[in-house]
Amino acid sequence: VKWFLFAMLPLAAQAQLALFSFNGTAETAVGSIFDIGSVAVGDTKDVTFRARNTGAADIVVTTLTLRGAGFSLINQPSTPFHIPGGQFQVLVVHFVAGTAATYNAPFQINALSTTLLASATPSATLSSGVGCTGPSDVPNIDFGSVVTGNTATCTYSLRNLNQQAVTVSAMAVSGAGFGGPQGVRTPLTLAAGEFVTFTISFAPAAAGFYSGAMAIDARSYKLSGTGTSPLLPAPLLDYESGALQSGQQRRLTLTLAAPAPIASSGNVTISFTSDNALIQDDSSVMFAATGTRSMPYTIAKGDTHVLLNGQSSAVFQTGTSAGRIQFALSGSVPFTQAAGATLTIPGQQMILDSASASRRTGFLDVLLTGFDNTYSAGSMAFTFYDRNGQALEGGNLSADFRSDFRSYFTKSQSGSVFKAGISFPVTGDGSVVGAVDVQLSNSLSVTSQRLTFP
Amino acid sequence: MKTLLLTLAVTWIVSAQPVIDVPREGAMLDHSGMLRPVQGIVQSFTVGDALATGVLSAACGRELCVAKTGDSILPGIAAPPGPALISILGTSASLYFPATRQFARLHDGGLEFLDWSVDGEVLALRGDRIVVRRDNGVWIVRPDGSSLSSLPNEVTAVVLLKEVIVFATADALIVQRTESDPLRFELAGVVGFSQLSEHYVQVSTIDSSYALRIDAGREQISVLPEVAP
Repeated sequence: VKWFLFAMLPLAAQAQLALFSFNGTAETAVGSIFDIGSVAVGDTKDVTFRARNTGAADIVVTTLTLRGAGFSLINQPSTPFHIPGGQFQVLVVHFVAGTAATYNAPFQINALSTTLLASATPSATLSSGVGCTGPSDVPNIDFGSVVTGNTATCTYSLRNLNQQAVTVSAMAVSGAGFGGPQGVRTPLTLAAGEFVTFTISFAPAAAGFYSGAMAIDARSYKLSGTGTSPLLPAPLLDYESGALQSGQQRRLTLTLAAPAPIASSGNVTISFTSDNALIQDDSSVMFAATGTRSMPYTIAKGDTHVLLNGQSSAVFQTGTSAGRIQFALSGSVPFTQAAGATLTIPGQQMILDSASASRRTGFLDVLLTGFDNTYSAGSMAFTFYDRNGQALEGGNLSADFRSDFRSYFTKSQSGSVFKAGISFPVTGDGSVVGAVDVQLSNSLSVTSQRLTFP
Repeated sequence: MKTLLLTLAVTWIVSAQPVIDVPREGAMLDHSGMLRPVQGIVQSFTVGDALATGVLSAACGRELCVAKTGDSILPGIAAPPGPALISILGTSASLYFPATRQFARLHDGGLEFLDWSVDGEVLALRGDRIVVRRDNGVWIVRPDGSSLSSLPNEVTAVVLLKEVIVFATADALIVQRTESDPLRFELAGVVGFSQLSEHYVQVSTIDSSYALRIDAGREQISVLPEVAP
C-alpha cells in the first residue's frame, strides 16, 4: 500500500500540468500538435503559452525543451522551477520565418509534449505612398492628425520581390475610422517583380486617437491616426464702404482668409447696444432678409465665401439709434479666433425724411417725419414768412417739446423714428402766411428746413 | 392781421402739446400671404404683426387699403376667385379679376362690376387706364380698347400710379414720369408690384421684397424686412 501511494504521487502531479495557448484574453488547451500558422518569409511571430498547474500541490518543472529550426523560447526560465498549485508559467515561443518551407519543433515540459508547426511563406512587400507614414521596421502605419469630418487617404503598393509568384489570399482593414482597401480585389497573384496599388482611408468622426489593423494574409499592420477638432479661419466682415450712420441699409459680406478645411454651418447674429440710457434696444436693427436678428450661414469645404441665408451677402439695417452694432458667428465648427465685429453708429444731426406744411380753417399745420438717433429732440424754432418771403413781425417762435419726445421715445419701441404734427391756431386771414422755417435741435446740431404753405 | 396771428400763435405754442407718433407707411404683402403694417422710414422700416392672412393681392393708399383673399375682398365682400389687380384712387379702388376677366370698382363698401372688356392679358389698371399685353406689344388702353400709349415689349410687370408708371424688365426696374427721363434701378427677377402706400410701391421678386419710393425727385429702393412665417 505504501508503494502504491508513493508511485501515484508523481503520476498525479504530472496530470495536474496542462499546456494552453493564450491570445491575450483566453486560454485554449493545446493538444499533441499546435500550428502557429503561416508567417511571411523574413517575418517573425511570437506565441504565448501557459504551462498551468491545475492541481493544488506544487509542480517542479525539471524538463523544458524546444528544438527545431526557427523556433526559440524568449526569456526561457532555468530548470528546475516551481509552479504553485493553481498558478501557471508563461512561455513565449518565437518563430523566425526563414526560407519558404514548413517547420516543426517538439516542445516538451516535463512529460507533457506537443509539436509546434509553422510555415514560412513568400509574400509581397508593402510600401506606402502619399498620405501616411509607414510601414517601417515596426509595422505601424500612421495617418497623423486628420481634422474630424475629413478623410485622409493613403496609397500603398504591394510588390512581389520574390523570385516566384506570390498569391495574396485576403486583405482586410479593421478598426473604427479606417476604411478600405480600395482598388484591389483578393485573391490575387503577383508574378515576380509585379506590384499592385490600393488605398486605405482614415476618417475620424470625432477628436481622439484611433487604432486599427490591416491584415494581408499572414502579415498584420497596425493602423493609427488622430482625429483633431477642425478650426475655421477667422472670417473677415465687410459692410460696404462709406461712413456708417443711422438710417442705412448696408450689405454684409463674410469671407475667410483661407479655404475652409471642412464644411460648416451656423448662425450670424446682429445685436445692438444703445449709447442712450433712454432706450435699451432698437428694433429696426435687423437683417432685412429674415426680419430678425439672426441669419443662417453655410461654408462649403474648400470655399472662402460664407453664404448668408443662401446668398452671397445680406442686407442689414443700421437702425435709428446711436450705439454699437455687434455681429457674432457661432456654428458647428469653431473659428481660430472669436468671429465677429463691432460697428459704431455715431450720434448725428436730426434727419427729416419728409416735412410738409398745410393750412386748414383756424390752423396752420406742420408735419415732420424723421429720426433723432441721440434721443434729445424737442427744441424747435419756427420762423414764419409772408407770401413774399418777408419775415412776419414777431414771427419767431420757439418751443421746447423735449419732454414730449422723451415720453414718446420711451414707449415707442421703434427706435427714434417719429412723426410729429404741430398745429398753430390762427385767427383772421391765415392765408397771408406763405412759408415757415423749421429748426430742429438735438444735442449735437440744428437741422433746418423751409416749408411752403400751399 | 399779421400781429394778431403771431400773438395767438405764441400764446398757443407755450402751452401746446405736439402729436407725436410712429410713422406708418401702409402695408406689405409678405411671401406667405400675410398683410403686415409697415412702420418707420426708408431703410429703417419695421414690419408688424399680420393684419390679415391668406391674402393674394393687396394695395394701400393714403385713405384706403384693399386686400383680396381667395374669394373675397376683406372684410368679407364676395369677389371672383384668385388674385386681383388693385389700384387705389382716394377712397375707392379699381380692380381686375384675371380668373373671370372682370373689372370692378370698390366704393362705399360695395363692389360694382363694370361692363368693360379688353383684348389681351391685363397687366395693370388705374381708373380707366388699362395696361394690356397683346401680340403686337404692351399697350395702355381705355376700356373701349382705344390705345393711349405703349410700353416696351420686354415689360414683365407694371403698376400705374398717380403721374408715374413703374414697370419691370428682366433685369431692371424703371420709374417713368411724364416729361422726364425714366429712372432705372438694377433689379432682376421682379415678379410683381403692389401699392404699399401713397409714397411707396412694394416690389416683389421670387424671394425678396423691396420698397420703391415714388415721390418725385426722391426715388429710392430699399429692402423690406421679410418676416419668416
